[in-house]
Amino acid sequence: MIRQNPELSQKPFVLITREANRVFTSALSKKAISMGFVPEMSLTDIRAAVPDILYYDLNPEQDIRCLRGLLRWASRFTPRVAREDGNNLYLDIAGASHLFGGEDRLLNEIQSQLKRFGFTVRLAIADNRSAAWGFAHYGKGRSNITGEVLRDASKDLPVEALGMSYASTNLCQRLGLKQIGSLLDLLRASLTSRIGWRDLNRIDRFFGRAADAKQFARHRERLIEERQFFDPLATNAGVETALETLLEKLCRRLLPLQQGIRKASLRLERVDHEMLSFSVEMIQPSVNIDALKRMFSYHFEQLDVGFGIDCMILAAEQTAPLSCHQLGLEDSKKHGHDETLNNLVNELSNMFGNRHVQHFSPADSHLPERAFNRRAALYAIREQSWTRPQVKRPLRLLKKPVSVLVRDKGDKKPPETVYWGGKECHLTALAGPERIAPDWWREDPEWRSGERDYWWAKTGSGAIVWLYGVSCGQTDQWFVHGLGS
Amino acid sequence: MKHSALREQIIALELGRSERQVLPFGLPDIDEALQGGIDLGAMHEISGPAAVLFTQVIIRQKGEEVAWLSMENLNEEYYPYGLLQSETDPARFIVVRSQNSRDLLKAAYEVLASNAVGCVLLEVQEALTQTQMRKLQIAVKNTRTLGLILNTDYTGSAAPESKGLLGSALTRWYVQVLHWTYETTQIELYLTKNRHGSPCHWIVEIDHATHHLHLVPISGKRAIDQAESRTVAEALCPDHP
Repeated sequence: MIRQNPELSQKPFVLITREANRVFTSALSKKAISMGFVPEMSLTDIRAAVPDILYYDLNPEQDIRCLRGLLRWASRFTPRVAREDGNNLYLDIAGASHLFGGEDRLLNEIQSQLKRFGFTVRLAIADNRSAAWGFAHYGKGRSNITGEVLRDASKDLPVEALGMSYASTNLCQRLGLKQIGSLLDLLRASLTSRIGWRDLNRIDRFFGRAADAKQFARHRERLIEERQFFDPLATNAGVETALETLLEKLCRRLLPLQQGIRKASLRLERVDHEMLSFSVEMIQPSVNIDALKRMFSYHFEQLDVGFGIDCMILAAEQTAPLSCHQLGLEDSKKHGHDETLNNLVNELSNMFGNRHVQHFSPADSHLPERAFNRRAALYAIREQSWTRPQVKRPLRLLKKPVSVLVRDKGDKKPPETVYWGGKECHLTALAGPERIAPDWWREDPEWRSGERDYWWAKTGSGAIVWLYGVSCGQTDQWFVHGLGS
Repeated sequence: MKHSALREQIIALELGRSERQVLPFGLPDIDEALQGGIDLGAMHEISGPAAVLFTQVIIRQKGEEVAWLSMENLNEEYYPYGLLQSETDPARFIVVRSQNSRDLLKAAYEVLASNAVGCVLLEVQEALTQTQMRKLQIAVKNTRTLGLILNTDYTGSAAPESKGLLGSALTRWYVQVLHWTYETTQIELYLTKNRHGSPCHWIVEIDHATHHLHLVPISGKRAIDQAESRTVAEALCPDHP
């Protein structure tokens, strides 16, 4: 948060979590900690002390996203990185530290870079994961505990650092075993009977006597193809040709993996360091070079190469397994049809943006306008089950009901003469009314006027309209909501 | 005979293919006037207060995927449950909404040329120019797609003759509802432009339960109406005697 608006760093503020009726702090800024506040305090108490303290809702998803980003960043030091619950990142630096000039220098590097990002970090290098966790959380802000020093260094660490269960930790503290050192002096057998083998195993893991398995995030192969040009590309045709070779390379890499491109992005660096980027999405994973190239070429209409393109980077941002279909003989025609349809949706989505090409999908509501959604066709599921309504529904619905001005006062029946779009219009009521009540549990400005009585009517010019009346005070108001039948 | 063969040839030349592909209505009178049915791979214009209803009849007859192209700021949209009631699967509807008319025409061109959908409904607020129509006609000519240009006007105030009489659409229709009940709808069809013959006028009854079409004879009872409608037909196509 501080990274987003730097002036916050000078102010005390807290992040709060709401739980039932309780609002308590879950994280505090440095300034707030220095004022004597601690996590898990109720917000009311804090505001009693400092009325104008800033507080924000904690956003766990954002935290996780941020940690994921850090994880990606950390993969520059070692390919084996992992994240665990809480804000813990693990890096397996076995065999990687010498690349950065030793463990201490690696630690320095990480610390300085993270500090520059604006993070407060606690770092520890240890022989195993449990020890690293313990030292990072309860040791000094930065420690390098490897090999022989572990036993000595851990003597002064509080027992919490062992990561034992809450009961065992509590027990140890009650017995006066505040530090790990005093725990180690005890007999192993007596310790087992007190705290159980499970927590004893934790101690063993801490000292590297038991295996400490940790699954590291699998390092994903980056599907990126890059090409730099000695002589900058000065024409669109040149860019297209270069794109073709890049696509060819990328698809050749994808084929053995049986993966197809779902989403790809292309970045063009101009000589004047201007960056142009385009991305395309496919409805189905594809390694079809021509199709992909055509998708990109729609964007090239607006391409301004300027003084030339220096560098092209093509990345497959999202891939998915290529689906294989066993085709029956009679299916082949239908399959071909589906394919052309998919291609069409693809092309339109990429030309006009995927939110402009849509499919209908059903929704669960009795209100006419809420009973369906429009989803981007690129992501929509085509096979949906629609339930046929019992009562007659119009062919078209107005997104915003149009108010028709009434001249004569109606008695709950549709008026005979209305003014629609500034023109006089004669109505003949055909059928109705059908009463639709709003969702009382939802505050919907459209339905604030209460229940609606829907009628079918025919206009003098020969159109069928679906209109409703709502009573507001003395007068009735009429709105056209649907057309055709 | 020779006359009709010659006409056939002219159409074929215009459409750029040798044989006509048609979608018959199943009503002998209308099919005869259109010489077999409404042409596939061609553009047709539909306007009038009940244009949506009539396109629905054609869509149901065609029964394939439908692409509906309209401007984003259009206040109305197809209602899936209404489509369901008129035997059209909403899942086969592709909605394309464009921000400006340039994109709309571009999308229309792509969809018409792709031959992936059965019907293309192009919703326009104002009549297309001669060039635009011709371009769309060229796009669609080698496909089995039915191109429908929809120009709805519910209040029926704008005179139909003021709208795009110059366009190169193969047929032009003006539709309005005559009579409506829960069971049936009677619509009045004016074929105001017909490349295959003279303009005509029918009353068609649509059965809501079975979705069958019946032709209602314009009987003596409606003699006054007919006289009235003749004047309408004359107003609609002033170039026709």
